[in-house]
Amino acid sequence: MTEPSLNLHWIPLFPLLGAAFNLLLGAQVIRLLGDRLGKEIVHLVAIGAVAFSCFSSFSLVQDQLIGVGYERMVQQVYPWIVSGNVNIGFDLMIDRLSAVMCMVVTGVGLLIHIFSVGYMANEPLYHRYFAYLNLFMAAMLVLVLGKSLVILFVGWEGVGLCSYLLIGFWFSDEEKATAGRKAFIVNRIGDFGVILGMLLIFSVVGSLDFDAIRSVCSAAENSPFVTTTIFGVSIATVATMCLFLGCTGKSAQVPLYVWLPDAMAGPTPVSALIHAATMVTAGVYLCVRLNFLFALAPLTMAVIALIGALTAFFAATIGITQNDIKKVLAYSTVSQLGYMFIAVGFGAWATAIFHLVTHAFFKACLFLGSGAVIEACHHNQDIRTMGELRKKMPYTAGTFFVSCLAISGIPPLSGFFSKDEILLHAYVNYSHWSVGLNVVAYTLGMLAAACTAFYMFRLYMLTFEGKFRGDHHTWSHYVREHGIMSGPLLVLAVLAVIGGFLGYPSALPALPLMAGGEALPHLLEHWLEPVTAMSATYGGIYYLGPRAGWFRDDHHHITHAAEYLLMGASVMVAVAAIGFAVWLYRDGPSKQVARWMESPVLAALHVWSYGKYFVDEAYDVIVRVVRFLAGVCYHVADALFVDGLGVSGTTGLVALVGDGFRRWHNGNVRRYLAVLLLGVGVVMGAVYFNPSIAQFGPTPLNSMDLGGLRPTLGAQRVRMRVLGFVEFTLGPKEQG
Amino acid sequence: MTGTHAAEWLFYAFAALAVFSGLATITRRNPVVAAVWLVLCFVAVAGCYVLLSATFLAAIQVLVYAGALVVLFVFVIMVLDVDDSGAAKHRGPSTTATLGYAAAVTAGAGVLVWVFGGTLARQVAIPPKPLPAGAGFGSAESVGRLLFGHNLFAFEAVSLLLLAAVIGAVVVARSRREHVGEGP
Amino acid sequence: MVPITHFLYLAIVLFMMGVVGVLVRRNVLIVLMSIELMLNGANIAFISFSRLWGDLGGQVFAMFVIAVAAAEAAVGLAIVVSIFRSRNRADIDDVSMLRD
Repeated sequence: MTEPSLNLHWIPLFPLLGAAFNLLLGAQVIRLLGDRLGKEIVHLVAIGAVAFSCFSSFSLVQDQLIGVGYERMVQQVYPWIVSGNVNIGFDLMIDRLSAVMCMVVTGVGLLIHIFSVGYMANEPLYHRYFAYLNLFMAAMLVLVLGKSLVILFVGWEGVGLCSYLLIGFWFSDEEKATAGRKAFIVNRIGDFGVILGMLLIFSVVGSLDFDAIRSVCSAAENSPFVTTTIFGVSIATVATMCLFLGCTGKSAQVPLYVWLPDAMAGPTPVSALIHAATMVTAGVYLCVRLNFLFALAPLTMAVIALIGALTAFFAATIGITQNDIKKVLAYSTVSQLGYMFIAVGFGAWATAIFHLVTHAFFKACLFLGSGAVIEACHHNQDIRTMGELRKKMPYTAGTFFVSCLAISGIPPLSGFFSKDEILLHAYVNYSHWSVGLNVVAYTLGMLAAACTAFYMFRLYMLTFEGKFRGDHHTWSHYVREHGIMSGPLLVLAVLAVIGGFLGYPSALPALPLMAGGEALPHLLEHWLEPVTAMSATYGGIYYLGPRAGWFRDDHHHITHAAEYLLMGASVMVAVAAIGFAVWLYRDGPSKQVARWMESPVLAALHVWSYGKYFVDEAYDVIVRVVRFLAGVCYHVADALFVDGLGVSGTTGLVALVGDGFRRWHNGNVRRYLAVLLLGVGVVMGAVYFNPSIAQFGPTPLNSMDLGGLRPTLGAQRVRMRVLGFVEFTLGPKEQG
Repeated sequence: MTGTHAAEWLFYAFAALAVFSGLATITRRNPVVAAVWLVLCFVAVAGCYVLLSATFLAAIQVLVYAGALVVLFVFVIMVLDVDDSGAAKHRGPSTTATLGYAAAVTAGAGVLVWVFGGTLARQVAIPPKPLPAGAGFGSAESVGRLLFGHNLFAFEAVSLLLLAAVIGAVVVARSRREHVGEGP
Repeated sequence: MVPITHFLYLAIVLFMMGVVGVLVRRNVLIVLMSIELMLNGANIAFISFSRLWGDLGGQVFAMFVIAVAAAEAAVGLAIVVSIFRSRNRADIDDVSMLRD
């Protein structure tokens, strides 16, 4: 059931107002009321705005979607573009998928805003930071609540902008500013894909509203999306490929992930919010939102799955060797996003969202924890100079440890449930390249899981255990915990623990505390069913591919035995990797690893991994080419042609001609007279050869009435009208 | 008839006189001499007017042009006391002069061609209209009748023009020293 | 009877002589006299046509031409006096104040 709502626009509007307040008045407030009180007001406004959005969305979900049972609520805010056939309204919609995203975004966002109060306490541009943060929340909420691709894109661009603003927040540092620019530009490449996709969809559907697209897709194989082709490829495939390009940009997949590690130049809460929990998940959201369209393009789905698997593994291998605490987490994010896209690629939409939610919890917790650590080590981010921090920062260490367990996939934490489900679907679901892709995806996923567990615990051990390797001054003065930063950490850690029960698989035995002993259903999957239902009806071909083989039981479900097997495999891999890491790094930087690095093969691998496979350097070549072309355009096309020939040329020509003519004006009266007579001669000649040009007034040849007077002195009666209303006549009276 | 031939001979005489004196006017170095030749030209032209039955106008021509205008010219020559230095003698025709010649020749040729070759020539080849008897064509009475009748407005306007010219001439030609001494 | 065309030729000749005089001569007063010559040529044309059509309007117009010529000569001479009063020469090339 759809229900019109009048309150949806407040959800993104409040953070927007908060941003406006802080941008316009924040500086004044801090100046007038002093540092302490002023900053209080600033962050209260910001936190209040987000809290309001959070509360609104939760209550909306609770009352309307759960309580009354509406499937979704729509609000038409403003008829935005009405032009001919194009009718794009600014419509917001909260359905089950948006509800999940909304709650995650506002909830995690609120916690991060609170954390920021402690982290950015000494920042001079305090108000600007909170303004940008609020602006980001507004944009993300618009993205999530949009009812059409256009509104989604508005939010998409908005979060891209805020990402740029926040990454380059400390823009006086050249490197940080460049990182911000890099993020924006790489995202732009992706946006190009999104726009192309939107145009293609519009050409088929005539509208960009999700409902319209859905109804056009409902004909499955007969839908115009499939039947219309470009160069032999269906529009569905092309459009979804283009949209996926945008996803690789926004959600940091291969090949457009390169901005995310550099984005760590921004403040750590920003990394937590934008580059872990919310913005980077926009790509996944887009795919799930348009699942009916993606399902019509099996080729694209296969590509998505492949790229997701590659990214997951690729990034994980880089993460193993990094020494900057935030870089490790960044590559971890890229890797986990790869998992989400594996799920998308195999048609496991709810699973992707599930992992999105759990990832938000533990990744945000990890990032915030690292923020607390960085603050404690006096803005030092190198884990080689940390260690033994657990002694002085127990809460941080504890939450960090829990989140590491979650991300490694240890039951019963949330990460286990979501990651395991992804791997399961990767193995059994049908795909366009089913024979090979299932194996590849599963294998890469497992390897990535192993690497993940390894590098996360390497990170933990080097940061929190062992002996402190930094300088004594830092240890005694800076290393400590702040209450305001620990609060959000605890909340997130708790969520990371219990979040898994959103998607409790049916295979596992029912726990006694749920629903009177009955099996707990997969809550999230049921919740999202209306959203994903359509794609499931396409001939039922998207689940259980040939690989499922002996996994399948008579009812076309996966047998419990199979599930146990896969779960066991992933847990074993994770435990083994964790054990290995803990053993290697028990005393800090490992001497065994140093000895292994003496072997040339391993040393070479290390160089490749540490150097991020030199992808940035490879892209730099392209950038140089573009820069060169731009330089050519500037120096040749612009400076030489437009400025030189065009502008200066025109003025030069005018000056030249003017100079030439000026020489005629020597003041000599006789010359002037001569030229005048010459002109008279020319006119007379013209009249001789073409008498009609000397006509004055209407004639049979020329009916245009020039309204002139025939020059007879006093002989003609003239009626004149002056200034439009004064009339008078001159001349002799009418005579016969 | 003798009358016709007489008219022709008279025309040729007057025409030749006019052309010759006109030529003399423009070629004399001394402006006073040129002015005198101009008088002769005006008189010859007045004679042509008479041949064209514009008797009143002939009188006016002599009175105004020869009588007043040239006298004015001579007065001004005297006032200016122009010194006819020989400095200008050795310069050949300047570029302007050549241009002037070219312009004049072209224009003149064009007009001649136009007049000769155009329909105008055919139109004016007809003999002039026989004059109505009675009130003399071109007499003071008939011209006056028009001046104060049909063309009254122009007549009054010209008188205004003359007034403006008089005042203008006085103002323009005023000596600077007088200017400084008096007020506006 | 003299055909009107003869008078027209005369008019043209006088006019052209006046033009040549204006362009070639450097003495300001000669220039003004040449202008009078031009006006005379025009007058002859007017009178001739007036005689041809029997329309007195031509003569009236010629009279006005004479009047205007007088006025113009007066003002022109006043200007000449004003400009050349202090110089030794009445050379029209001296008054090139309109130059760029």
